[in-house]
Parts: sequence; C-alpha cells; structure tokens
Amino acid sequence: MNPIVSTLVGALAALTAAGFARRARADEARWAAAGGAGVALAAGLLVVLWSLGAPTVAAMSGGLLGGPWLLADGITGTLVPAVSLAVLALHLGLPRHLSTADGHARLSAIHATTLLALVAGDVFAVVGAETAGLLLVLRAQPAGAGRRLLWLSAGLMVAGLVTCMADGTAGEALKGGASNLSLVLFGLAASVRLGLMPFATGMLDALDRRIDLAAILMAVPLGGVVLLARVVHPSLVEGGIPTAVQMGVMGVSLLAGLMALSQNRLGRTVGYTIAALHGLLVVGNLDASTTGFLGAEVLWAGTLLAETGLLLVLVLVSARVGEVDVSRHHGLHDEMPVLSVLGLVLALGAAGLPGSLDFVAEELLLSGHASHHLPGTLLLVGVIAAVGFNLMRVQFRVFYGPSRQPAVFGARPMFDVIRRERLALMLVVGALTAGGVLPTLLPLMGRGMG
Amino acid sequence: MNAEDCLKALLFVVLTVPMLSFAVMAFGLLVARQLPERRIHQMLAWTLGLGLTATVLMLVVFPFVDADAVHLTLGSLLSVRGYALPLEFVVDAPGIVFLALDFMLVGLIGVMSSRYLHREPGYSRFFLLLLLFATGVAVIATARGLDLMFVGWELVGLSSALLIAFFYKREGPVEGGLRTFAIYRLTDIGLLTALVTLHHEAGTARFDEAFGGGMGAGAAVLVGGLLVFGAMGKGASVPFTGWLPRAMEGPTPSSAVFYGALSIHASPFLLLRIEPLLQAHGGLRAAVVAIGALTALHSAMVGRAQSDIKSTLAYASAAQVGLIWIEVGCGWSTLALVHLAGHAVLRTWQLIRSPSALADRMELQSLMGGNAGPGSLLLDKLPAGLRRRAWRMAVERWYLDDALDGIWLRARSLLRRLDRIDRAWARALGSQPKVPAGSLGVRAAEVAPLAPTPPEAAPSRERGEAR
Repeated sequence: MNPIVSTLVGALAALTAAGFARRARADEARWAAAGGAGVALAAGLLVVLWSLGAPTVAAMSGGLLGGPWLLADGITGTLVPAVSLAVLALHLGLPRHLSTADGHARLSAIHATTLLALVAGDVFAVVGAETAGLLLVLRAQPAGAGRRLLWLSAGLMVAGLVTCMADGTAGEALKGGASNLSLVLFGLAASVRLGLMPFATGMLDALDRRIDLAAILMAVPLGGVVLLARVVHPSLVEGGIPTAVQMGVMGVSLLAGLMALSQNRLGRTVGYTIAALHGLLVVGNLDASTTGFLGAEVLWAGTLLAETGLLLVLVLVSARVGEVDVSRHHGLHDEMPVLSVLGLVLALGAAGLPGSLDFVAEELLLSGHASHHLPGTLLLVGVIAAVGFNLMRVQFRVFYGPSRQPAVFGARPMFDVIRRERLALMLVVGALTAGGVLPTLLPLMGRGMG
Repeated sequence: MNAEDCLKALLFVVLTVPMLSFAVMAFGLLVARQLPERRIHQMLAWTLGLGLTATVLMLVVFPFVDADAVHLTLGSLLSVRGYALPLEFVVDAPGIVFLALDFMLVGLIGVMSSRYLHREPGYSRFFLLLLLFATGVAVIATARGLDLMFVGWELVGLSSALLIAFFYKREGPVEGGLRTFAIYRLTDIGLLTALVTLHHEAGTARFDEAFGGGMGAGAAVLVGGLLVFGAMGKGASVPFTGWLPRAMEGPTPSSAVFYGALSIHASPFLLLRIEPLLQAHGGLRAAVVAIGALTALHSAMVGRAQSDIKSTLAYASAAQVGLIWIEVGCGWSTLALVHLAGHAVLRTWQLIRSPSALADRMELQSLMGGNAGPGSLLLDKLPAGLRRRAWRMAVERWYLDDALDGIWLRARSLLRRLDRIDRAWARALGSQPKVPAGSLGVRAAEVAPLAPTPPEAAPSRERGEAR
C-alpha cells in the first residue's frame, strides 16, 4: 500500500477514535482510542514494509504552493509506527483515575495531527498540523507557565509562516529556501514546544505538579520535531549552520542534564532529563551531516518511546503509592517487581545502553557531529552520560532501598502491573529492543534518507 | 576445515552461547516466570562449560595458525552513508588469555554461587547479571575495534552496578551501586569521546589499523589521553578509587569475579590493546606509569588501614592493577598479561575465601605456634608522628572521596540556585506554588480512592481492576 495512503488511514482511524472516545464513558473511551491507535500502528507497519521494497520518496502533488502537498520518506516510515506505538501504550497503560473520555479523545486527536505532520509536503501543511497538535496539548494544560509557553510556541510558528509568505519563500521552505528570519522563528517555536532550556519551565512545572496525561503530553516529543526536520534542517544545511547556535544548544542541554542531578523532586529530575534529551534532538536536527541528522530522527523515535514508557511507569507508581521523590529510597521493587524491571529496561534504553534504539541513534548523532565539529562532541557525550546517570538514579531511588510502605498492605507483590499495563510497557520495551538489535529494519537506515 | 576456520567457529560459539542464555533468562524474568534454581544452574553449567571448552580448544588450535590474529566479521549492526558499526572480532594471544579467564572464573563463581545463594530471593537475577557480565567480558576480550569494546565495556559496567545493588533492600549497597555507576559513567565520557575522535581522525576504530600512523600527533595524544581517562574508572585508579570498597557491598562471589578478577582488569586490558599508541608517545606512557604508581601507592597505604577483609582485598587489587599499569606503561606487555592473569586467579581465590578469613587466620596461627602477623618492618622504623599522619591519611583514604564530593556539592549549590530562578520564572508566568505533600510524601486525596483493599477482603482480580 502507498505509504501516504497508509499514514492517512492511520490518521483517519485516530480521528475517528477521538470522535468515538469523546462521547463514550471512560472505559469505553480507552478501548475505542486504543483501537484507533492499533489501526494506525498496523498502517505504520505497512509503511515499514513498503519502505523495505521501495527505495524512493512517495509524494502527492497538487499542493497550494505548486509542489507536493503530501510526501512520505524514511522519516515517515520510521516515525509513524513509533508515534502510533507510543500513543497506543499511553491509551492502554494510563491508570484508571487518569483515564477520562476527554483525555483519550485529546490524545487520539494529537496522534492524528502528528501523523498528518509526518506526511505533510509543504510548509502550510506542516505548520498547520503542528499548530493543531500544539493547541490540543495546550488546552489540556492548567493555567500557568506551561500554557503560556505553548501559546508562545504557537505564536512563533504562525509568525514563521507569515514571514515565509511575506518574503515569498513559502514554496521553497521544505527544499532549503526558507528565509533566515522564518528559520529563527520556526527554530524557536520548536525549542519552546520541546521544552529546551530555558523554555523548559512549562514542562518542569507540569511534571513537578503531578505526572498525569497533561504533563506527559507536554513532555513527550509528539510535536515540534517535524518542523525542525522538514523546514529548519534543509534550509540550515543549504545556508550553513552557525556553530555558536549548536554550541549554545549543547551547552543548555548539558546544563539541563546537570540540573537534573541536583534535584530531589522526581518531576523536576525527570523534566530536566527530558530537556537534556530534547537538546540532543535539536542538535541533531541542526546537524549538517546526513549521519547526524539520521541519528536525530532515530533518536526521536527512541526518545519518544522511552520517555512514554518511563513516564507511564512513574504514573503507575504514583497511582499506587502516591507521590515519590528522589531524595531518599522508596524500595518499591518488592511491591511491584515487574514494573521495576520494566522501568529499569526503559531507563537503560533511554540512557542508550547497547542493544537499544537510543544507542544506535546516539552513535549516529555523535559520529555525524564529530565529522564537522569535534569539540562539541564532548558536550554531547557529557549530556548522554548525565542523562544515563539521572535515569539510573531515579530507578535506584524509587525501586530500591528500604521499603517505606506501611506494613498494613500485607501480601507482596500486590501493587504490580495489571495485564493491560504490562502489555503497554512490553510493547514499548519490545520496540526499543527490536530497533536496537535490528536497526537496519528501520526505514531511515535502509534508505539512507530516501 | 583449517585451523583458522576452526578458530572462527569456536569464537562464534564463545560469543553467542552466553548471549543466548542471557536472552532466555531475561525474557523469563521480564514475563515474571522465574526458572527454578536447578534449571538455572544447568543452563549456567552448559553455557559456561561450552564457553570454556571452546576457549580451551582455541588455546590448542591458535598455535597452528600462521597469523598473529584471526579476524571474524559477523556483518554490521548498522551501516549508513559515512558510518558503520561492524561486528568484527579478533582472536589473538591477549584476547584468548582474557577469554579463558572469563569462562574459567565466571564458571567457578557460578558453581560456587549456586550453593552460596541457594534460596536467596535474587537467585535468578544474580545469574542473569553474571551471564550479562560474561558476555560483556567476552566482547571486550575479542573486540577488534573500540566500538565493540565499548559495547562490552557498557555491559560490564551495568552488570557491575546492578550486582553491587544486589541486596536492594539495604541503603548501603544501593548507594554503592549508584556511586559506582556514576564513576563509570563519568569515565565513559573519555571512552566515548575517544571512539568518536578515532573515527573522525583515523577513519576506523580497529585497534590494528587506527594507531598505525594515520592520525596526527596531537589527535593521537588526545585519543590516548581520553582512553587512559576511560580506563581509570574501571581500574579504580586515583582519584576514582573510592567506589571500590563500596562495591564490596555486593555478594562475595560477584565481588570476587568483578573486582578481584575481570572487571578491574579490563582497564589494563584496554591499555594493552592500545599499546602501539602508548609506545609512540612518551607523554602517554609517562602518564600511565604515573597514574599506576600513584594508584599502587595509594591503595597499598589505604588497604593497610581497612578494618574488613573485603575492603583490604579490594585495595590490594587496586594496588596490583596499578602495578600492571606501570608494566604496560613501561612496555612490558607480556609481563603485564602474565601478571594480570595470575593476579586475577589469586585474588578471586582470596575473595572467595574471605568469609572464612578469620578461621583461616586462626588455623595459620595455630600451625605457626603463635602470632602469624606479617609485621611491618619498614613502617615500624618511621617516626611516630609521621606514622600517625600516614595512618590518618590512610584511614581517610587520602581525602579523595571528600574532595570529589566537595566539588560536586559546590556545583550542586550553584545548580539549585539556577533551579530557584526557573521556579520564580514559572510563578511569574502564572503557575501556582505546588501543594506540599503529606508527611509520608503521599497526597491523601489522591490515594484514598485508590488505596488497595487488603488481600483477605477482596480477590486479586478486583484489586487490579480498582487501579
């Protein structure tokens, strides 16, 4: 099946599921939304199959700007299944008290906009889909820093588009012809959306307040990266990427990684760690080399899956025992052994342990970056090391050490994952491992970017 | 089949068997169906027995091969334009020695542990991590390039940290594991940066090709320096010695095989692999000798002031590894390899015997008819003030941990100030201050409807659904 059609079918399924979920009761909404995500995942796997046999980019012409308005390439082939899998895991894994009809419907709608952004072939379609997804995330946030920063991101995206139209570069934006001002605006919009330091305030606030669906939507990279990969990257490659910008992004990522180390609150530790990981994503998307860019896109898939899984683990922990912090040990391994093991695997996956998708991504990213900017590589390696240690620290503090649970809870292990939660986490772990062991199956790898 | 093909087949067996066993056990643990102890023991015996047999056969066959080394390529993990991560392995003399140590000592420890940890709750976890460790060491021993060695290096580091935290209900082992992981992670920065630099400067990370003169002198010194820094973590070199006594919080068998035998010797093994680079640059050799000498002096001194046998042995290991570093730095690679193998075997035996140290000592005393203490003629002749100061320094472990902790605490205070700015910024943007949690860190309003019913009051299915 044509990859564009497959992706559109996936998006349609997600949208339909969103419609059903909105009118259903919470339990029905979960399964309706999961069904939609499942169909999208199947469609995504068809895109992978297509990419194994067809070494070209698929495009549909007839866009507003004369060029193709829809296209599918290696990025689409790799990210469509990853996004669908992450969303499916969220639908399945959310604990019952966070599972609302509105939440599932919103998540499905965001899923659809991300899939549409992945096949968008001109700047209008990319910005439209990204903005729609961003507004959906925004409406889930409580009033405060998160909401305001997302408004800022949406405003910057629209301003970038208007600038493109005003200087007549909209038609060439995806081919490397966007103007410098629009690139700055798009780059800033994506950085704010991804919670890059110093724009991480909203994400940190959301995660610190309570790790729920709104905070997860704020944290996981379901939006922003397409804008970087499709619009910002080609133009920067054409025009040359300022080293100062790259060094700046790497510097703030390292700072985020170190700040995570200094935190005692779980939400802020995880938030800063995610900000550091997203810094790697942005650096890769600003990389002039094909290898580095390839690494960033693979890292996007890996980070999305690993962050989803990790946040899901933390949500499930807090649903069972309330709020936990990382200033002391909580010793929850005995109460929830499977969750602890899955959390460990996910933490190691996000930290780039050999055999995980993130390991492949980080190898590519480092190699690509070193080919033209060797000193900066040290900063990147520092970020990777800090992220790995932070995640292990969270794992060790939450699951290991003396148990602090009141003895009244009795028989053990009684807090462990139930079947659907285990399925959700196993899907994510399986995908991360399969991608790490057999990276050549990824459409991005097989096609060398199409 | 000629000798070379035979070696390749044996190498394939050595690499795949522990990996497959690990995969089977990991899958079992992930789906929470733990294998019974007997099955685990059988699986381990077969795995390590097969590995050891294959290694011994390699030792027998290797002299019949004309070349110094036999290469085996198992395809490529990933290959894109401009970058490839080939699965290339090598069989050569140092590799076979390290491989033989791996399977022999891990096998011995496995046999011992099956009794030592009998009915221990983490029985399967221990053997899972032991298999991961054996796989990691096999990869380190046979990797042709730094890429794959880094993979093995990471596997060894991870299994090490998790085994230190084996008794996860106690705070000491968990914090020990975390500290060890932190040091490993810090020094891995050197290894990973060296790997990337090597690809960039030499176009390859193969040990037999990268150091042949393709790199400029500056780049070579940089790569060498980074690799030496990378080796300092696992080798417990000064100033990173502090994790080693903490690592002894793990089960004794794993302490023996990790910090007496294999993990700690991975650092001189790495130095042996980059020997051409060291030999070409006097500065690097001098650095290796200096670090080795400092580590040997520090560990010998601190080891004498330890009050428990495992910590004493840990510092004795670090001292010997320091001496091996000196040998490598001086270019005595054969001596270093023999020293490495001999020390690994001796120290493993000592650590395994350490729970019986008191009984052994009493037996020795009764055999000698009195005090069996070795005495210290040199130290006894030192002035009393100097001896007291030296003793204090040794007890405080040269204040190295305090110095490292002090650096971190100062940095943390600065980072927390930055975090306060971020919180103030969030408030300025309209975020409400967070409601503080209850005394147990639990928000009553959230947990009350979710609190599980005691098991005798409701069947487990209902408890699960309640979540």
